[in-house]
Amino acid sequence: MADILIVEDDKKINELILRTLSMMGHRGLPAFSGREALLALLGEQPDLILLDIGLPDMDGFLLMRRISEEYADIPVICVTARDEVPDRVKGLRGGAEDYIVKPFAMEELLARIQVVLRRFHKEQTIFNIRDIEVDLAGGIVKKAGHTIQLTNREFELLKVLLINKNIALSRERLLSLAWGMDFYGDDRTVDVHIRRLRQKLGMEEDIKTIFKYGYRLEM
Amino acid sequence: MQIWKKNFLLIYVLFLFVIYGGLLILDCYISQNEWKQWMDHARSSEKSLFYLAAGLKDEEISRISMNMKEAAEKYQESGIQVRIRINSYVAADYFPKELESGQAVKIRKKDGESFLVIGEEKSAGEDIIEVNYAENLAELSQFQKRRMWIFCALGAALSAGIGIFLYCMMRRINRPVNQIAHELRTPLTGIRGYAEYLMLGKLTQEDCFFAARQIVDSAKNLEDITEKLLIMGNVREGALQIGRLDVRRLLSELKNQYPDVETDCKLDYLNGDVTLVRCLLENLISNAVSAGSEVKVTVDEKRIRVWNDGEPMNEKLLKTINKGQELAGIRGGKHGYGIGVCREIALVHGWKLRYESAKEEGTAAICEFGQMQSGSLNCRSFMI
Repeated sequence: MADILIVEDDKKINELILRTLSMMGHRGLPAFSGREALLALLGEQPDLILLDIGLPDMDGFLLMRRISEEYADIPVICVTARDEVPDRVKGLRGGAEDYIVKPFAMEELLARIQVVLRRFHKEQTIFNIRDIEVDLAGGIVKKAGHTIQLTNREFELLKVLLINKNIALSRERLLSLAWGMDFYGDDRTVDVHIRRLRQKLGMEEDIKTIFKYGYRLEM
Repeated sequence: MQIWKKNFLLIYVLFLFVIYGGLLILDCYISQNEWKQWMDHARSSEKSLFYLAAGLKDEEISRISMNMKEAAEKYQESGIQVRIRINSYVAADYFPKELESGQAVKIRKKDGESFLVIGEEKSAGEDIIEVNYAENLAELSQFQKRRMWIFCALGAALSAGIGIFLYCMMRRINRPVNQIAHELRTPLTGIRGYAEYLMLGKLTQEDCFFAARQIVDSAKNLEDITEKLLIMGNVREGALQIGRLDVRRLLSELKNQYPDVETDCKLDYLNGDVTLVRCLLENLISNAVSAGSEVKVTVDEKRIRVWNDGEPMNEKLLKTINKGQELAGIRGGKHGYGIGVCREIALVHGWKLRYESAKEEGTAAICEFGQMQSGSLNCRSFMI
């Protein structure tokens, strides 16, 4: 799991991102100003930086330039309320890997974090749940040392649940993530595959059903 | 492109149409008048020649010839070419053959130049007098061209001036809208984020309580911003109810809200809008309480002074506040609308709000009344 530096001056938002990242298994490092962020970077080597542009003590773009000069291997995602095109362009040209405008959906933030981590090969690929070991890169699932045969779709569904662990995902979201946007199947398709996953891996307790919504993998 | 820029372009193009259309109409009107005057002048000159010829027709030929030639030469000097014929005798002939037009008033061209040509044959008793008159229009044409260029330059200058003014005004109007949208996003992110956190996350009872509290706080913050914006809107556009305000009572009410604030009141009554002055004091005290541990409110006949012992403001912030610029772009405090509201309230009362801040002296918000306040002024209400 990744170490993520959250540079955001609003304490509530900082705490929100920190908690959500913790829920996903990431380690959040809070910083409330540009100076705190630079101090944190002296002691830590985060895998990713979430950077608010409107900081109290320095311009976020300036801080980003400094980070990209001194810590070129750490990707930066801008998280800001500035939604004008020149700001977005400035952010992306200034070295940001992505640009998210407030107010954002946490799911979207997590998805973008995941994409950037994958791009920088910092994504977690091995997951362990009790006696189950899942290798996402190799496409191998083992239970108590024995390989379990999963269909492509079941594996994709498991992968989506693992990447979004501890987050409830709606049936529609699971369909779009595991089956793709072009799939026109029934929501109940998800239920059938979840039932099979539970049976094959003995994950009845781990994959929780969220009433009238979807599922959540709890780890 | 942003909507306000599109609007600006649309309005600007409309203005261009109005400006250039107006100038074109004006130019046409002036030109028409000039033509009329020129024509009248030509007609009257042509008639003068006719009357001169009619007066001389009974004289000796040599005398007629001498006088008519003299008159024709004078016309020739001022660019007017004439031919005068009495019956079959041509008394003077400076009229170019190329401009022959018969009996009419016409514009004819010769060597690239325009001429106003009048040809007229009239009877004077038993005699017939024919006057051919040709006046060069180059001077008029040059004058009209020059005026057209002046009008074009005037149009360009007007368009540029109006364009710059319009752009600045529209940007000024749009800037607060942008800032408001920007400021609303932070509490909205909190509300949405914590609601999603509640809805999607695997949470303990404590986590749920924490998230709910954050939502309530963010909603309160949002309410605070919208309330202040509404007050600002009302202050700018609404009716101001000036009345006699019991300062001591107001301060004692505020003291209940902020028990640690020290007050020193040397004024019994103040003339102002009760709701707005209360809002002003509340904001100033609230800001002071957030900034420092010790807060003192002093009210006398000249001013309200709210002092705190907190960290002094940096020069940039102090300058921005005292210049009366929008604070939303400057971070560090809250959203900055509190001071904006205070400034607007002070302004509509004819008061002046300024800040003083220095190391070891703390920070003071001073609202100067301008006119001496006393408890005996009449109550009145008016529209702003």
